[in-house]
Amino acid sequence: MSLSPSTSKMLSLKSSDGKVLEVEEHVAVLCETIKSLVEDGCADSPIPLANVDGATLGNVMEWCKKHADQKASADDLEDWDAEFVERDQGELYHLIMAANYLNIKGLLDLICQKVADMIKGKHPEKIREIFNIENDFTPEQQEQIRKDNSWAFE
Amino acid sequence: MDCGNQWFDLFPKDPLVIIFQRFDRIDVLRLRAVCKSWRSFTLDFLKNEDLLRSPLKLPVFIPPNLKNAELLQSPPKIRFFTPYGPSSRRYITVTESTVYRLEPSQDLENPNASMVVGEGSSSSSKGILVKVKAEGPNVVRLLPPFSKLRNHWYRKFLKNLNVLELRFSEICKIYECERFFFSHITPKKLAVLSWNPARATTDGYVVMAIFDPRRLYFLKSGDEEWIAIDEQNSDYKDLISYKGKFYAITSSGSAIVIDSFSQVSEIAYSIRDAGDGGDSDHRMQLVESLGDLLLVDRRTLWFNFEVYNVYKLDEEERGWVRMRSLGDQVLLVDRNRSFSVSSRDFAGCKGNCFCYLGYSRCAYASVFNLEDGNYQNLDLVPPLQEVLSWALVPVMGNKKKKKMEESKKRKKQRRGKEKRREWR
Repeated sequence: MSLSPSTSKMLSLKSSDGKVLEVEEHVAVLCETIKSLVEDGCADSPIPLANVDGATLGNVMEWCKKHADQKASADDLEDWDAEFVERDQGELYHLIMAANYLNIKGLLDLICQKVADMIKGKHPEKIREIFNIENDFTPEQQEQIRKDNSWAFE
Repeated sequence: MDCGNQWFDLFPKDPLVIIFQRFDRIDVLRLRAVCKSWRSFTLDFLKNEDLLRSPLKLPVFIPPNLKNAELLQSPPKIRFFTPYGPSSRRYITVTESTVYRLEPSQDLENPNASMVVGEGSSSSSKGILVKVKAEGPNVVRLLPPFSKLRNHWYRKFLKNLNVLELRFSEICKIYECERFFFSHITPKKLAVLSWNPARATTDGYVVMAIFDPRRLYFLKSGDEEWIAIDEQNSDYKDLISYKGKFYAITSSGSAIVIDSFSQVSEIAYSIRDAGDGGDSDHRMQLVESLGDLLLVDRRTLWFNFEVYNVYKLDEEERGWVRMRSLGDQVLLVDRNRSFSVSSRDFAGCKGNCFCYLGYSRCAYASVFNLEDGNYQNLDLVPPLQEVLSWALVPVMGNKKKKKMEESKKRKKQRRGKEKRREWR
């Protein structure tokens, strides 16, 4: 089995908590941020990724690996993606931050869709519960909101 | 993991916008009530969104017989009278609205919720159809799906409405074009393939319309003129956007497909038998139902006696297949709009029928049942009438209703008198 030099080349990525991850170049370049570094020839030393922690980086690279695989069929990828996003909101939050920072459009769209699905059609009380959000309205504002929502229609 | 309010406070705005773009207007309105930072973001988002979703402005259609050198030199204006005096401009506007099924929210467990919609009815899972039109960051209009009219019934209904306590399920999008006094520049029918008024210069929109005398025209953002499609043919009955393409049908039932590059291909041959041709009183309408393209064919045989047929498009056979049953679906059709709903979502309704709302001389609504082939007035089908009460109240008109009630009263009184006489 022969690999072309470009696919076998390894890049090392360093996360915010100091973990170093070895990733094949053709996988890592799914991140536009890394791709531009590689194109500029700045990818020799471990690439420091200050905004991404080790666990999240692992997850992101797992996704990139699957999506860099030419053999995977569209249906296959869809199923895999559906499983991939089954995480709690904390992990999803970090994944969005990472995907945004590394500029991976496919992953960002995927996670945003998942979060949107979690919010869609829910009562505000329930949304607060899911995302651990504190209700910081004063009673007067609360009353105003109640009015807004019953007067939304004119 | 503790995230607290970080979802909004620390969050970069781009992903948030991506998330928010996946919501419909109602969801966004609801998010105002979550917390302060969500509220302020929501209002900003809605303001931007309104700029993007402002009405589409299309060039005025100039009928071919009016096209001359003089007109072409200076772009035409349309003159019309507004309540503020005569006015003229070079575009017509198209607005977007969404039809929803509205029902009490299930996850709320609010005992009052069922009261909101099911006013005066005991069943809790009763849906109702409404049309929602956004008219500003904080203003959303709720309208009857088949009419622009509002009435006292509607106002009473709005008083009891709270967005937070209702579930909105999207049925379809509706595009409406302003109507002009001059019918030849008003589209008889308009279909929209893509819609993005913000990018009006490049790939903002693709629309098609039928203009008098029933010819097809195509328009893409950037074009200054409507382009005629299939020019020889001037009896196009209906037009719909379905599966990313336009489908248009002639009175004989032959159909063509037009893609977003205005490429035309034939998709179905005529359905009419040879002996049956010639009469022009076929009213045909295309409806999308459960992913299929259906054709509703109505024809008046003699005075007030109508025959209905429903066909399904078979793209492989290149023809229309007559449908014996619609399952649990109810097709709702009027002159400009058509969509299909499941009777299961509306307690008490029976499926397998279609309802036509017409406005000839006085408005009427008739329900045709595929099961027994009968059609009857909507008044006689109470569950469906309730679903469509929004459509119906204006249809009936208050004056007409009052008259009917009065004549009923008089009849009762007369009967009462006769009975009393018999008594004596």
